[in-house]
Parts: sequence; C-alpha cells; structure tokens
Amino acid sequence: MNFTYRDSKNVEHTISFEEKDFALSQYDIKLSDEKMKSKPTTFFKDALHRFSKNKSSVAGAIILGTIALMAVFVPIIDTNSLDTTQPYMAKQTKLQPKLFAAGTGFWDGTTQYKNIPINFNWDAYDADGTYSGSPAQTENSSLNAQAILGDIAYSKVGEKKLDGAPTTYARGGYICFSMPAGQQSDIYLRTPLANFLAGSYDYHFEVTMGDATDYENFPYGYQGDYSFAFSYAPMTSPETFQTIVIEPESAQGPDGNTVYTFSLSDYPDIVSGLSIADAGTVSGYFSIVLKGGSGRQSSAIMKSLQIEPRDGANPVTESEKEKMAKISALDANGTLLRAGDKEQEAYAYRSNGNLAVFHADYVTGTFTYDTYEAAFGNYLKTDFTIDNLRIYGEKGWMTFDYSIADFLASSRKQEEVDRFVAGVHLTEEGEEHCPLQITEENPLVGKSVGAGSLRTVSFSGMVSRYREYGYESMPIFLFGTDDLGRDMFKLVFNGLRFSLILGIVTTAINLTIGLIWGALSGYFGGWVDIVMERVCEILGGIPFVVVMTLILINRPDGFPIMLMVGIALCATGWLGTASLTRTQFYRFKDREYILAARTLGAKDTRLIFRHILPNAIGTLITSSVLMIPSVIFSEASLSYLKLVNGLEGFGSTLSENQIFMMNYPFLILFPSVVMALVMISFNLFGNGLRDAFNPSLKGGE
Amino acid sequence: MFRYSVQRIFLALCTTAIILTLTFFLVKIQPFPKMVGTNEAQLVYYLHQADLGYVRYSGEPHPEWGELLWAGGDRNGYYYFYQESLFRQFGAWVSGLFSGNWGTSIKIEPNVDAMKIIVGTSWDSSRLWTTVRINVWPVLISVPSGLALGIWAALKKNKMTDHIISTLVMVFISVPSFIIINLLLYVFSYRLGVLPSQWPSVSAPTQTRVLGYIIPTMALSFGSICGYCRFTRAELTEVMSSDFLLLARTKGLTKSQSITRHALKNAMVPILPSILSEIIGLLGGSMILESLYGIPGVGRLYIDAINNRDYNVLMADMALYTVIGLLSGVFLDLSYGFIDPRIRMGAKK
Repeated sequence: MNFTYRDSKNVEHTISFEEKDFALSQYDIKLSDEKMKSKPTTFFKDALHRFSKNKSSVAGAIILGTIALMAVFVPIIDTNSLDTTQPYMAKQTKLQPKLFAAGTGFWDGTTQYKNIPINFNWDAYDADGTYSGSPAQTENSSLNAQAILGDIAYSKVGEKKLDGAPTTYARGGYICFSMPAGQQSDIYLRTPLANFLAGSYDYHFEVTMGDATDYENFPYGYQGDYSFAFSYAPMTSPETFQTIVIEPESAQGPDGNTVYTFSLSDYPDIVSGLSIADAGTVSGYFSIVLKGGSGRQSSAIMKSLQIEPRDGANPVTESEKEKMAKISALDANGTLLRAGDKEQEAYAYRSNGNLAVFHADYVTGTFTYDTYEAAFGNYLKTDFTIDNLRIYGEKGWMTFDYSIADFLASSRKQEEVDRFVAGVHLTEEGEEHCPLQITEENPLVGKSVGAGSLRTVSFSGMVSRYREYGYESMPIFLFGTDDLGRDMFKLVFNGLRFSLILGIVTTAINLTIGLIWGALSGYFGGWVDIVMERVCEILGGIPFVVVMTLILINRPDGFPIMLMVGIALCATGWLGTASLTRTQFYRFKDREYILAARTLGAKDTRLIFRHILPNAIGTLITSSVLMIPSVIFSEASLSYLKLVNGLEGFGSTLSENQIFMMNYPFLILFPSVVMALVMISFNLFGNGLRDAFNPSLKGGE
Repeated sequence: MFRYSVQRIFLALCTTAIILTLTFFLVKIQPFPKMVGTNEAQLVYYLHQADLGYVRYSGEPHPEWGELLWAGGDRNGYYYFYQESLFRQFGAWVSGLFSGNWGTSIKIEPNVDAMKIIVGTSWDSSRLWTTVRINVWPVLISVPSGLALGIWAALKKNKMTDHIISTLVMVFISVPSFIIINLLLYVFSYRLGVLPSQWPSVSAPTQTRVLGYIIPTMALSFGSICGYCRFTRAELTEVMSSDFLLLARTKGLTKSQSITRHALKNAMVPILPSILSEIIGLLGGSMILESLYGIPGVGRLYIDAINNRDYNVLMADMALYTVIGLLSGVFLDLSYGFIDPRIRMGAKK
C-alpha cells in the first residue's frame, strides 16, 4: 500500500506500507476498566484547592488566623494589669507606643514636644547665647527634665512675647491696666517705700506710659478714656488706703512715649505723711491708681516705674541703688506675680479691673521626650523610713551590718545614722529587684532630726520607679497606654477577643435559626412559606438601629448588656441565612434525585439534611464567614455611638479614646489599624471562600 | 405592572403599619416619660398629653387609675394626672398620626411636636434638611466617579489597573466609616488645620460653612464610590462575558461600540435602580458621621433621643427610618420594571 503526500516545498514523497509492518498489540489480552490513577476529589478538597490558588485570600486567611491567635493568646501572655485601681496605673498614663529602644526615632516611646515654655535661666543667659533651663510646669504639661532626650532647641530670646496673665516662666514686659466699660474701678500698682527714703527726699519717680501708636497689636485696645493719678498713701495695711492725688508733669520721652515725672519733695503732705508712721523708719505705699471711664473699656500700658535719684542729689551708694531697683517696677511679670505684701519689692494690687502683662519675654523649647523614662525612670526618694528598709530586709534584698533593732535602741544621733547607713548593703537578689539602688554616685543618706524621743530619722536614696510599681524591668507597651494607664496592646486584643467571640456566637445562632427557618419555609412551601415569608418581610423592614433600640430600652434591670446586644444582633440577623436557605431548597427540592430518594422511602428530615442542605453548604459557609465582620462592625458602631455602654469590644476602646485623638493619635491609630486589618482580612478570606465554593461567581461581587 | 405597583405599595404600607404598631407597644411599655422642669412647663406638658389622649386627669386622686404621674396645677385648678391604658393611648396615637401629631418632646425641645423637631421650622433649623444637604454632595460625587472607576476596572479586567482599583475598593469597603472619619479629622483638621473639626454653626462665616462640607462629603463618598465601583465592575464583567456581546463583535462592531451600545446599557439595569433607591436613603443620613462631626441632623437626633429617653421623638425618628427603608425597597423593585421593560415584576412563572 502506498501513501503519497506533498511537503511545503511541493516535493512529492511516497511512503509504502506492507502488512508485516503492522502487528496487533493487544491480541488475546483481556481489557477491563482500570482504577483511576488520579485520586478522587471531594467538593471540599476541590474548593480548598481553588482557594489555595487565590493568593490574596490565602494572605487574608493567614492574617486573620494570626490576629485571631493573638486575640486568644495576648490576653493570657500579656501580664500587664488592666485594673485601674492599682495606684501605679495613674503614673503610666498615655505612654507612647514603644517597640524599639528610646532614641531610635521611630516607635520608641518618645514624643516630640514643640514650643513648650521653659523655666529659663535668665541670670545665666548672656546675649551671645548661653541657653539653659528645663520645661516649665504649665497647666497642661508637667514634664520631667530627666526624660528629655538630646538637647532642647530653644527659641531665641525676644522671639516669644507673652500677653495676658503673668506666669512663672516669663520675664519683663509691661504692665497693662484695663477695666471693663461702665465700671469705675481702681487698679493699684504699689511699691513700698522702704525706710531708706527717710531723711532724704531727693528721689523722684519716673513713670513711663506707653502711647497708642506703640501698640497697634495691643489686645485690649489702647484707649484714653480714663483719668489717672499718682497717689501716695501712708499706711500700714493696704485696706486703709488713702489717696493724695499727685498731678505729675508730663513730657515727651526719648522714645516718643509720654513720661510722667514728679518728685516727692514737691509734695509736703506726703513728706509729712511719710514721717507719720515712725520718726526713723518710713513705711507706706506709693501707688499708681487708674480710674476707668464710664463709657467704654479703658486701658493703659505702663512701661516702667522707676525710682531715681534727683539730678544733683547726693551720691547714691550701691546698696541704695539695689534697694531702688527692688522697689521699682521694672519687671512687669515679676511685679504682677507678687500679689502679697512683700517688703521692699514692688507688687501689684488689684481692687477692680484687670492687670495683665504685656509683651513679657519667655523662651520655649522643642525637644524629644522619653515618656517611659518620665514614668519609670529613677528618682531621688527623700522620705524613706526605717520601716521601708526593714521590709526590703525581710524580702531578702538588703543586709544590715548594724541591725535595725540595735540601731533603734541606740541614740539615733547623726553619727549612729551614718554608721547604720554605711552598713546597709544590697544582696544579689536585691540588686535585681530592690527599688532602692545604692551606688557610689547615689548612696543611701540618712538624716537625724530632732532630739530625745522626738528624734526622727529619714533616708534618701535613688529609687527605680518601675521596680517600685512591681515591674521586673522597664516595661514596654507596644501600643502605648491609655488615659487610665492600661496597656493598649492588651486592651485592643481583649476587645478583639470579645468582638470575635460575639461575632462567632451570634453568627452560629443566626445560622442555626436561619437554616431551620429557611429549610422549613422552602421545603414545605405553600401557605407555610407564605406566612413565614411575610414574617421575614416585616422583620426585615425594621432598620437594625430600631431593632437594637427597641430591645435595649426594654432591657430588664440586671440583665447583662452583652446578652441583650447578642439578642438584638440575632433578632433580625438570621433573615439573610433564612432566605439563602429557602432559595436553595426551592432550587433542589424538585430535582429528580430527591424524587428518587423519596420513592425509596426517605423521610422529610433525611431529605432536608442529607440531600438538599449539603448543596447549600458552600454558600452558607461563605455567608456566615462574611457575617462575622458585619456583627463585629455593628457592635463596634453601637459602642462607638455610645448607644450601648459596658461592652469590651473595639468600639468602646475607640470611643473612649476619641477625645485624645488630637494630642495622642496613637490611642486611635492602633485599635483602628487592628480593626481595619480584621475587617479586610475577613472580607478577603470570605471572598476567597465564595470563589472557591462557586467558581462561576469568580471575580464578581 | 400597574397592578404590581399598587400591590407592592399596599404591602409596604401594611408592613409599615405593623412595624409602627410593634414599635409603639415596645416603646410604650416603658415608664411614661415624665417631664422635668418648671411647674408651668409640666402643666403645659401634661395638659397637652391629655389633649392628645395619652393621659387622663381629674381634680381628685384616683389610685385605681394606676401610678400617679404628676399632680399640680395653677390658679385654674389642681389636677392629678394618670396614664391612659395602653390601647387607648394607641388609639389616640393612631388618630394623632393622621393629623400629623406625633406626640411632644420632653427633653430635646420640651413641648415641641416630635415631627416638628425633625422637619424644623426653617431651612436652617430643619434636621431633615441638614441631613439631606450633607448627603447630596456625596451622591453627586460618588455616582459618576464610582461608575467610571467600575467601568475602567471592568475594561482592564485582571490587569494591574483592575487589581489596584479592586484592592482599594476592598480596603475602603472593609474599613468602618468611623475609622475613615477619624483619619480625615486627624489629617485635615488636627494636623493640617485646614478644615473645621466640627460642623460649623449657622452663624459661622460662609467660607467656614463651605469648608465644613468637605469632611462629611469625603467620609460618605469613599464608601459609596467603592460600592458603586464594585457593583459596576461585577455587572459589566458579567455582561462582557455574555454571548450577545460576542455576537455584536462578530457582527463587526468595534470594541468601544459594543461596550457603549450593548454592554453598558445592560449593565446599568441593576445599577440604576440601586442609585435611585439610595437617593431616598439620603433622608436617613449617617448616624455615625452626624454624631462624630456634630451635625444636627436626623441621625444625631436619634441618638440624642435615645440618650435622653425622649420616646416620642425617638418613635417619630424610628418611623422616619422605617419608612425610608421600606420606600427605597419598593422604589428599587419598581424601578427595575421601568428601566428595563423586559423585566416584568411580579409576573407569574
């Protein structure tokens, strides 16, 4: 037999076959079906296979698994107490999150403080810029200088000006008198006339008032609707103040300001008044009184009040100069801070109206602050008693060469105390655990005060705060601590555990109710279905918040809120599962295989649970996996809106910390990130499951 | 179609009636809300309650009428007020509804009708209008952008663009709205300081009031952009893989012709109704956003009513939410038939 063909080059080829070229390969061999070499697969194995191909879903599942495991184990492993009644909790509030060592610059428990007023060392400062000082204790910050990492970046002197109430950290400035409209009020700036003025009246007062043109930005407005008098009152107490009005001479000062001057000797009344009190010593007050107008707010600025020797007066001694400087009001801030009756220093006294400081200098600093060092660092404890030391001794942390009993029996004078202190040693265990640290730089120092039976002994030494609080080492709070000092890491995972348990339990209940309801409704059909469907329709028509509200306001007293929330979540939560199941039953109940099973005598329950329901299992698993995050979300929203109080889930953590978001964003950030991760991974996982169980839906939503 | 519409609306009305009845009884088994305030305010309140039929009163004490709610009066007389029986209250309430009377508030705006609190007396004070105003912008922004993103993602299916869009959509849909609002507040109000951190009051300057819309608009837009995007992508992907589109291509239509003329039209069939029904949902607003951003809308009113135990306001607000929910459901169902005449709603098999 010949076979001819042409190749691509149009060349003819011929192949010839003969019968002997062929042989029967399976002649006389019995052939039967062979067992399949590939393993049979089940529905679930197939789904699992498809699921594992979906990378993002696998990633979601892994993240979800990790977070769920953390939710189980973190609350067990993390031993930090959440008990806010512990006394040390108040000391560790709002610590920054810490993962790396302090100073790393990222997640290291430090925070940046910007433009914090500094208790500036004005005396040590010179113009070419020697800066030193530590953070001032202001209303909203009490900062510990030892916790500052690195250097403080100071603002330049003269850059920051303070207007308003005088503060401890400011210096200089001018005094601003102001009083509200319609009030006739007096404000006194006083300077006690010290006794050095006696016998010599060759001093004058120079008062410089600011001009309106100077203070365009003056916050109170510079308004001239006031009368003002320089007055003197011979007095022993401010309450018996009498005024002798002085008409000062006004003149244009060198810098364009109005300067008022007058000399005491021009006022014989005052001079005689001065001598009233005592022949030798003169006491009394010199005041500036500002009387406000009646029409509108009046205010004025006094740049300075100085007492100076008159021209051609006797030479003034250094000590007199010093005294003059003291009773002059040169430092407005300092003057206003002194409200009391102080000798030899100018001070302010307010009967009505306001005294404020205007354009006082202060310095701010920007620095990195280690919140852990501030909360847990060492400090010098000065009020140790012998009992404290005895307790350390009983714990085996300390040995005493000079026993406590012997010491107490001794005279307890300073030399005995020194001898006792020299004999106090930390044991090896004490080195590791004892809060009190005795080193060469920071020895234990004892002090004996009093005499006889009233003699008391106190000790001072360097103490580690974290050991005092019961920590073995400097604690690390991964997510920081909240305003009550609770560890956010534990709190977040506690919340997650609660949310997950609530989500899973609720879902399980919803699934059960929904399955039974849907199965009955779908399987039996007819009027059963109609009635059941109407019930579902009505329940489904009630918005979830309304259901929640109705259930919550009808909570019996003492019924746990958590159960009530669970009931509310289950009240309408099963509707979705029910309709899903019902659809599945409608799809499958008329199939031939069901008819076959029924013919073979299968009962309704068998048909429902063995023949129809398994078809729906994929869809049901998917829908229940996706139900968990929605339950978590509902619970979080309810807690967040404070519709429900007392749940431990995410929502309450977030809602409690809401108010701190501006200054402590991490309190919101970490719970939010964990919550977002949980939600995202749940959705990824759920979508992956759906695609795996029903590949025809792949990619669709 | 007409028959179906009537049927559907009738059913929705029945459902509403049943739900409102349920709500009424579940709320009213709570202790009767007692007014706190001056003697005059209490008297006005209880007399008004008596006018509405919730309370009965007499000049003499009647212990057999149940718990005494309040006793007091003015120079015209001294009265003892008792709660009416629940069923009489229900009758009074139902007849009140027809005259637009939803009972009065006791805490939020004492002695003001509950519906009046929701609807308000002027544009500025209307809580419903405030909510609508807040919700209009997100719809105007999210519908076009969501559709555009969804179409883009569907056309670039399984390419990098699609993956990026789908991932973002998934993230934004998963993350709860209050986290997004917090993030926006933190970045724009606290860090950058460019937007107000609270809903500006009516007296604020116009510029601030306009800026006040930005955070609510963004907060509400993200979610719905993602929702529309996901929906559109899914629908369009499905239509694109259908046989008639293949036929259109084989007939010689270009890709863009086949998409604009056939695919998009068909994909819009389920999308448009959902947009329409969402527009009705505008009235409901977002409770979380309103309470977080301090917007005086119906959502915040709801929370205030719960916290203040102001049940009449609560019931009016609940009714509003229920009606909105049911109405948008009906609207959704009916609009299918209008948008695509091939779909005959309610038709027999």
